[in-house]
Parts: sequence; C-alpha cells; structure tokens
Amino acid sequence: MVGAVGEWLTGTEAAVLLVILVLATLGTATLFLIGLAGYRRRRTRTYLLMTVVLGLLVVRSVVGIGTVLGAVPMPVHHLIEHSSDLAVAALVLYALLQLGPPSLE
Amino acid sequence: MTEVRQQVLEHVDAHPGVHYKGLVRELDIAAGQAQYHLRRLLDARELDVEKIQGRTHYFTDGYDGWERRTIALLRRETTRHVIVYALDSDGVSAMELADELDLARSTVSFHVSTLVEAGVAEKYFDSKGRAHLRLTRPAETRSLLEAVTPSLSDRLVDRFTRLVDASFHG
Repeated sequence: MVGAVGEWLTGTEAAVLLVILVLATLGTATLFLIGLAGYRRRRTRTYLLMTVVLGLLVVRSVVGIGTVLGAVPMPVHHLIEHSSDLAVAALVLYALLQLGPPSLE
Repeated sequence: MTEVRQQVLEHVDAHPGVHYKGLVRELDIAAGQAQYHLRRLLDARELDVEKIQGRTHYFTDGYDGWERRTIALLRRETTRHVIVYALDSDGVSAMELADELDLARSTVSFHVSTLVEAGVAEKYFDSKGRAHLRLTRPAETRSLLEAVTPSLSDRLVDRFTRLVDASFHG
C-alpha cells in the first residue's frame, strides 16, 4: 500500500499512521491559520507565541509524514520532534511568565 | 466587462463587506484571478474597500465610510454580540459586557476600542469613573445588522481570541 516505508513498521501500520498524520496535519494547519488570523488582529506577543506554537505542531505532523515515507531518517525525526516539544514548553511557559501578576486597570 | 468580473461585482453587491478569501471560496475562482478582477473593479471605482485589523472588506457603491466599518465589524462574531447587547440599552458598562457576554476583560476592552475607533460606538465614563459604551447610531446599526452574518472562519478566529484572552489576560 505504502511504498517506501522504514523497516520499523509494516505496510498496514504505515497506512494507519499515515492516515492519522494526514488528519493531524489538516487539524493543526487549521489551528495555525486561525492563530495567524488572531495574531493579525491583535498583534500582541502572546498571540505571536501561540501562533508559533501552533506552527510547530504543524511541523511535527509534516515531519511525521516524512518519516513514514522514508524521507526523514529516524535520528533526525527524533531530534526535530523532541526539540519542538522543548520549544512548545518553553514558549508557553514564557507566555505565562511575561504576563506577570494581575494588575489593577 | 468579462463574465468573471461581472460575477465578482454581483457577489460583492449581494454580500456587502465580504472579504477576499470569502469571495475566492464562494465563487470558486483562482486567487490570482480574483485579485486581478478586484484590482480592476477598484480602479474603475466600481468597488470600495475598508481595511480593519489586517483584513480587507469589499463593498459596492452606496455605502458611506461609517456603514462600511459597521458592516465589516458586524461580520465578526464577538464584536457583533457586543453591538447587539449595546443596542438593547442606552449605555452599557464594560463590566456588564464582560459579565453578561462571559468575556475576559481584555476581550471587552479590545472590542470596545475597535468599535470606538470605527465610530460605531462611543465611550464615556459615569460619575464613578466606570467606562460605558453607547452606540453612535443605534437605528442605522440595527438595520445593518440584518444585512450580514459572520462566516464560519470569522467565528473560529473570534473564539480563538476569546480563548487566548481568557487563558492569558483574564
């Protein structure tokens, strides 16, 4: 069914994974576009950080597809996926920290 | 006038304040083609544009600046709700808007300044110094309300901003 797959999974597994990854890409890409539109309206740092985070989720799914199809070697896959986890955690934490304590308006 | 250009013109006429992406989607034409015809229609002064927060809304002739801005804002879900709420009262406080519409204060403050900037509403302070909002032209706003409804993509972006506001800004 799927031609060039890595040795680490069977044809059926690859097909299932690919379907999930395509759906994940569509979902995260939709969220990213919504985030981008939100950022264009508000132009604040928080919105920028959220948009970058949503963009990273799209990258993850795309890299996943690349790996199933054999285009992305496994070490590179792990490096990108887990670096993006680190970046997502850092960006969301930074977004929370930069807000500071509540202030009276 | 080419058939496509006529189609674009008729679509904008039937959907005042439609934005570029909505037009491309509804008419099922190529983005470049839409851009080309819109440009030509603008040059020929058959169409007007109104830019609000990075989004371009198109109109046929016959709407003044205030009407164009009001229609464009009525296409956004949350702004629309704020307008509808303000329509039913002669002056509503920002606090009441936040409570009644279940919005974060930063969301209310964003939409209030957008409305004030567009001249759709005005802000004033009561004797205790609390911010209130009042529509500048309630009767005309009410009649425009029926002309437009927000699209699905507008609703999603609106809800996303409410979510982020509520999570990060309170």
